[in-house]
Amino acid sequence: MTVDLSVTAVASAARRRRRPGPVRVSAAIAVAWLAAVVLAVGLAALIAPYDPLDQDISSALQLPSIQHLLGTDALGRDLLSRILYGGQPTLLGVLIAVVVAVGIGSIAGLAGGYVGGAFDRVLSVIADLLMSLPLILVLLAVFAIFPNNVAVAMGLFGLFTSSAIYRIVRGATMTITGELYITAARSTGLSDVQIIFRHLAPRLGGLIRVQASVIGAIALSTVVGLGFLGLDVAPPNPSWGSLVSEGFQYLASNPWLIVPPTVIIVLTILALGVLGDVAQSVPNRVRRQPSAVAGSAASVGVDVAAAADDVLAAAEASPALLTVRDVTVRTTGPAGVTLVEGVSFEVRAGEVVGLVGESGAGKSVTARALTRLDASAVVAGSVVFDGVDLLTLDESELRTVRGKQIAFIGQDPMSALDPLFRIQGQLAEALRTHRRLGRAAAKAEAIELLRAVRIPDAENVAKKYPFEISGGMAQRVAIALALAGEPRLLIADEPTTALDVTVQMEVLGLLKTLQRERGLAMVFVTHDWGVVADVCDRAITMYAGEIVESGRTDDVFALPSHPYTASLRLSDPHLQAVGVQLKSIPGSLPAPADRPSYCRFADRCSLVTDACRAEHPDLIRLPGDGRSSRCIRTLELREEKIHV
Amino acid sequence: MIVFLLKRLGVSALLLFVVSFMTFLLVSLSPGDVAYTLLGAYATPEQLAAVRETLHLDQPVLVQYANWLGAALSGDFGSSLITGQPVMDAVGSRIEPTISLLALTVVVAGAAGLVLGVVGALKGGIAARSVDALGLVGVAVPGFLVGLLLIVVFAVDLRWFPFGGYAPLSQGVGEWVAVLVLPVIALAIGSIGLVAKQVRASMVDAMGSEFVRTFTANGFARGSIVYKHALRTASVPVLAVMGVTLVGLLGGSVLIEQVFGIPGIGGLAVQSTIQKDLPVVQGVAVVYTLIIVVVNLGLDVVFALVNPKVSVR
Repeated sequence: MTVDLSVTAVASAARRRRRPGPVRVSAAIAVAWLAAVVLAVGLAALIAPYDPLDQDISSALQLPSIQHLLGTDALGRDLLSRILYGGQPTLLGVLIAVVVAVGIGSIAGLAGGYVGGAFDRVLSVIADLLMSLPLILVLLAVFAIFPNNVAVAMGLFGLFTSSAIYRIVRGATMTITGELYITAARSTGLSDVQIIFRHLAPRLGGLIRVQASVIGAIALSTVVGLGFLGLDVAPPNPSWGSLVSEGFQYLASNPWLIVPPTVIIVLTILALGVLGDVAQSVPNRVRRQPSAVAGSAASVGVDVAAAADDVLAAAEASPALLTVRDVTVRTTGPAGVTLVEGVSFEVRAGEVVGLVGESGAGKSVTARALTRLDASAVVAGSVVFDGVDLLTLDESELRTVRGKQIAFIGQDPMSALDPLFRIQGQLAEALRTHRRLGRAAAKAEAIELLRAVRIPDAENVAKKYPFEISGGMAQRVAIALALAGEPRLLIADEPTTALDVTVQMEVLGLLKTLQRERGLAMVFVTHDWGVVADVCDRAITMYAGEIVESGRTDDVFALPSHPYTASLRLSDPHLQAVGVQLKSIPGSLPAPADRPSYCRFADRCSLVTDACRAEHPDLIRLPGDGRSSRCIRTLELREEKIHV
Repeated sequence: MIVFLLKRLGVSALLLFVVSFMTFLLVSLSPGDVAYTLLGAYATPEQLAAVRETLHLDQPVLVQYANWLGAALSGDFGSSLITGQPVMDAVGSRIEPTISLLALTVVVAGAAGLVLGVVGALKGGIAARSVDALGLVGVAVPGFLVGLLLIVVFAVDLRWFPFGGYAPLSQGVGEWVAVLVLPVIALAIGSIGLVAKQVRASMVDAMGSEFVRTFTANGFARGSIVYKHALRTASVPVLAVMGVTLVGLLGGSVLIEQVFGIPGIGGLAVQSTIQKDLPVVQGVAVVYTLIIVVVNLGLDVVFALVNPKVSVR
């Protein structure tokens, strides 16, 4: 099943890519133009109507005619013939530059990136040096030594520009070399040279092609410039640069003369540029970052029930703070995919609601949709917070809700803060965004916030930059930032997933304490049932973009009412016996575009019957507080007639 | 921070040394020498030898270089072998036009590239594609060709600006600007696209970063997120590109000076190289390298100010 899915995904990606767009058309035109130019210049001896040096003063400076298709120059020489012949030294120079740059750059880059160490450092210093030298001086000096020798000059140009290719190839090689399959190839006994040619070179081909066309464009521009200075060929021989220079001399009296060579040069450079640009913009397949590290373990005490009961009772009496009704999230565009469908739930003041499920179940998408954080997602339905439907607000109105009413902490604390500003400054900015505070007051308050999230030595930490502190510390700062507006609801999107186990427990403990102290309501996204048991009053299980079960945490723990929840609980690493194979749910989550029309879990369910594949089941309300399940056999499950 | 700057200074000194040595070597090793230029094709071997001896051209190249280096380090760059004018004077009298041209171009290219890049990044769609297309055309069309076009349209036809030449800043800002408008546009046009493209890419990256999401999710003002946080993050790679861009601008300025008849270093460079006027070539090489070194040092300081990772660690 996994295999099938990935094959269809690849196939559809390929289909998308093959669709001809404006990009393909311009690339085709560019290739056609380049081919025509190269062919015409190469065959100049055969197709040029005149000898490029044949003078005929009587027919000097003519405009285009049947005899002279592009007219004649000051000595009556045929301009078309001079352009065709003149392209030879010019394009030869470009070819040499590109070959030298690509050759030296990619060999040095492959070697440096693959070998690494001191060898790589020496190469890098040389590359840096080449890049910072004034190339024009070197070229001038070369022409002084080898007058009118385009080949040597452009070869040197290639050597100097090879440092650009070197950098790119080296970087890519280092990345690729770190990948698993290269390690695998090495362990199967392939020699380094074999690995480079069999595995690395083909993958770098695209990168190098892009750079080659860009360097070609710059080389052509340079060689024409040198020709314009009169350095590339000895007169009266033509080159594209010298033709521009000749045209320049007659600019005032005979402006036509400069037009044909200039147009051809510009079009050729553009064609090279387009080619490089097109190759660059071929879409990379976007790989979705996995939202959770499966099987990370936080061993949390599972004393769910007793203590929380009083709090819960109070919460039940109060009306909902947040009411989510029938929320659907689609990606934008005509080919939008439905990520999350028909999600409804409530969060009461001071209540912690867990959204639980596998990676890709739609938990984070749902959480981020509440305050419309993803610009690439269209959210439908209603999200009523304190009497206001957030989905009817525009961006600027939403900004008054975000942070002040509903705050957010994400899963990656190390990149959650701006690395270029001190922590104190960022917290102060958050405080001043939500409250009327002077600069000094905000800075003082920032330190109070750090103390509130139990950071020792807060004054000192406040002066640090985010990259100077640990992940656990950074997540505390991120929590402090979220608390700056004294929100009533905190959305926590897997706040402990990226942290070490011991740090996870500390951060979780802190969130619990803050929640209790401040009466915060929370929507807590997690894949970890230990965390659910520890912090959540109610648990909502999501699968393939919809809710499949919800209920009070202790109820769900006591008796899951959906086979998916039951299987998830069984495969929880915390509950596994030592020495027994880890239980897992067979198969994998269907991709959003491939969800079945019947029960979405049916294909992986051990209790599946024919009825499960007949139609898509509704969420069934069950007795008990907010208890529901999307399984047609839920009553059998409840009465413990069947076991997962 | 100080260690960092000292290190950069060391690299700069090394660069100056390498450039001067390489130019010296290249020009000395080339066939024919300044004695031919001075005496013409009909000089006798004796005459040539006499001139070479006077100019110390008969000594080994390394000795010649050591002499030059010793004198240069004490501030004496020698005199032109052709005109006898001290190199410092020859270069000094031509440095203002070149620096003016380069400085204005960097400002124009940087500012225009920044604006276009940010607009492209924030608006996306057609705006982004227009910026890319503009960048492509700018990079593709050589600056001196753009210069020719500008001369035809704005100097010859419309007569809005002078045809070329240079007016020193001391004669008034108006003249100075008027004479530099066209060459600056011609020189900047290629770099605007490069800078804009880099700004756009960095800005898109920065706007997609996690902290932008955190700040958005917690209600930070849009202006602060975009212009204070994202733009600063985006400026780090842009600064690196500006350094490389400047090296390219130097090459372009030689041609632009020729096209617009600006009496700058570029003309001196071409002329002295062809005449093998070694002291002048060396002087030009040192000045060009100094420009690169100074600008890169300046960029390093700005870089360190923008990016605390450099100065803190």
